[in-house]
Amino acid sequence: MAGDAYTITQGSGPLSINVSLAANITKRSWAVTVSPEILGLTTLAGDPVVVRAVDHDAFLRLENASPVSGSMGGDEFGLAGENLALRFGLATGDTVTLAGAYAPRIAFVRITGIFRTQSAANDELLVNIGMGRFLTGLGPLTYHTIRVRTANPSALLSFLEGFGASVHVTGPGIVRLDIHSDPPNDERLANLILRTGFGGAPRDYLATAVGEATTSVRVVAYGIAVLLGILVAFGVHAVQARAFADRVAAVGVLRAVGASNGWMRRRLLTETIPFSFLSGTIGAAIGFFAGIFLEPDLSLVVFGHQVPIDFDVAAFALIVLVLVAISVGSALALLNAALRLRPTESIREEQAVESPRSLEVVLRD
Amino acid sequence: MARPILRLATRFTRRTRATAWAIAFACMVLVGALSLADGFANGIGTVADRIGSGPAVYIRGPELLKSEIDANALATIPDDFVALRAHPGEFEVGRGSLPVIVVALVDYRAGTGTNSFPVGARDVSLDVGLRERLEEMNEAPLGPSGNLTVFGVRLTDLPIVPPPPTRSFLFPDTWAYVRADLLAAMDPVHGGSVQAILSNASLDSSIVQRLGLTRLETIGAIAFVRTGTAQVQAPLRLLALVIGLVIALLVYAATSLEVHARAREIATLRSLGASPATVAAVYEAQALVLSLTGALLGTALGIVMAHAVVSFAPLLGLPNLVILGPPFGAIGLTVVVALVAAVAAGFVPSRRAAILVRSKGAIPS
Repeated sequence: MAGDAYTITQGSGPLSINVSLAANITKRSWAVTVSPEILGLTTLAGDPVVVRAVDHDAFLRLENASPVSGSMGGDEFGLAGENLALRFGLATGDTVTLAGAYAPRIAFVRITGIFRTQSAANDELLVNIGMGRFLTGLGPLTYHTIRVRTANPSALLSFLEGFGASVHVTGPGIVRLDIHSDPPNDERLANLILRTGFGGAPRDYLATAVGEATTSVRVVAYGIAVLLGILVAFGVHAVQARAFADRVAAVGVLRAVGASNGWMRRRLLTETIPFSFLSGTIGAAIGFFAGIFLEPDLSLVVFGHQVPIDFDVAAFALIVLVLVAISVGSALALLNAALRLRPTESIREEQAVESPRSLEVVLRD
Repeated sequence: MARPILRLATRFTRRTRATAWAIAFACMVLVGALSLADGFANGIGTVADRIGSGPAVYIRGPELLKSEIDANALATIPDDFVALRAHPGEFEVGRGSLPVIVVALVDYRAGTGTNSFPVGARDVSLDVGLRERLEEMNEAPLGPSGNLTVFGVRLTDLPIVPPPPTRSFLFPDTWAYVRADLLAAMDPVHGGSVQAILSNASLDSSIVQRLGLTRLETIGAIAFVRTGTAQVQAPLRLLALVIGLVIALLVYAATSLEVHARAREIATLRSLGASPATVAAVYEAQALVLSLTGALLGTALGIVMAHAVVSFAPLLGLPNLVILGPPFGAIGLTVVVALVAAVAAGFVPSRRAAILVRSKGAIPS
């Protein structure tokens, strides 16, 4: 979502994310855009979709959205993000069925317009606040979150302090600030509550639950990355071991003529690092371009949001660094094993592959 | 004959052991990734199951408004339920018109349907929310009649009657209610069919199957997390194909090298009376044993690694809802993929082994 906005969510104290707070923030001169929102998780034609109840004008300004078709206004609206419209084949004038988000409901929403934005909202359906309250079962005066764009965050924080709202604030330069609120429950405790069902859900359950679900996805993703890393490490080590097997004799010769262990390590690293760096860069680049090539037909949609293939310098560098580290570790391990041999043993020619048990022995057993 | 074949097939050299390890690491990725994804679905599902479900709503196909259930078949359902007909339309009254959802509800008890409201054949009942909107639009109280357009058919001067005396908590207050007969008269095909069946209890599965119904989850968040996790799991199934290819390549390379290295031995076997089929069986069995060993080892590694990832993630600040269970599905898939890949990849080398002695120079001097 819009990265330059500050997000205010419910704290552990009295219910504070409401019409009064939104109206009071809107009146302040430092508040450029104020977008009160209700978040609904539901399905559209059997697929997950995020429905966001908003003040369309404020939301579209906050997200720097541009209209694609239809009208962006009206008291009752259904505005589909361009990605969502493409995935579901929605057009202006269509009517779609929505189930309730957190309460049992059936509702129909007419698509009154399609918008485009660079944020995750491009995969979402925007509805009017009344529809959001009906779908979520939220009270008539409350919202889930208020997002504020301001050039003066300290004014926002001091206002919230003075207003007495119990909120958590996050945004540019603010990891999380708790105002008139305890810090969110230790996520592990909330995790235990959610897993076992013992205990009550905290007031800021939505932030906690969304956080935990997000973290769970990250754990799965990181876990798969670790597994793939192990596979890659094994592959790299196997290839290097095969290549190094032919060089063991050379190690023995070099040691016999006086090469020190340090010199040989440096020599090996001089050979390994550039090649592993090059292969890591080529591999990561192939992966990135393959993703770009396949994206139109094989777009990955997770929890109703299309996963964009962006060039992430940090991820790219991390992949290359991991590959270099694996290669260096493998090379040093192989060299250390070779250094443990006496030069005379290294130089001696012996069969590279152990001789299999003879046919006679196998059949006689 | 089986024992000598098995003995010859289970001779592991350093090369075949390395291949088994490589297969094991590939299988570890598959089992680990699927275990993590299943664990995520399991954890999220556990939370979702704890949320109370609403009334059972059945439709045909993924979209309620496009669902068409044969009204004549409803009398065969023994349970009590409500048949919902719903269509988008337009209602004109006074100076303007609004898009509306036109609904007819028929109450079925013991196979008999009763359409108790509205009473008059041409009556239109506007619910309170819709009335407010129309009055707001006209800036005047509603007149006694209005015009309704559904299926492109315009009915004029329909009497407007008071809102329905009761309304299910599932429905919003913005619908227009008419009799089912009126919709059927306007369009016998679409107007005659029922869009949804609403029941307090689940319908018998045989009825659901016979009518081709699917259940619409009225609490969207539950369906959201379930379908969302399915979206996460789906791409991982593709991983099985990649792993299968990797295993096939490894098995092919290892078995081909074995056949090449044991040309003399194959000739000896043939001279001792082994048929080409027996020789082929040795190498096909070796491919299978190699692959199965790797798959079993990889399965164990995958399970251990998945548990390690989930257990250590909270220590790294990633508390999560991943609840790992016995990954029987993942194990089954891995073993099947490994065996299929082994059979396919071992076919060519084993056939080559079977016909080896016929070719010139098969026995190296």
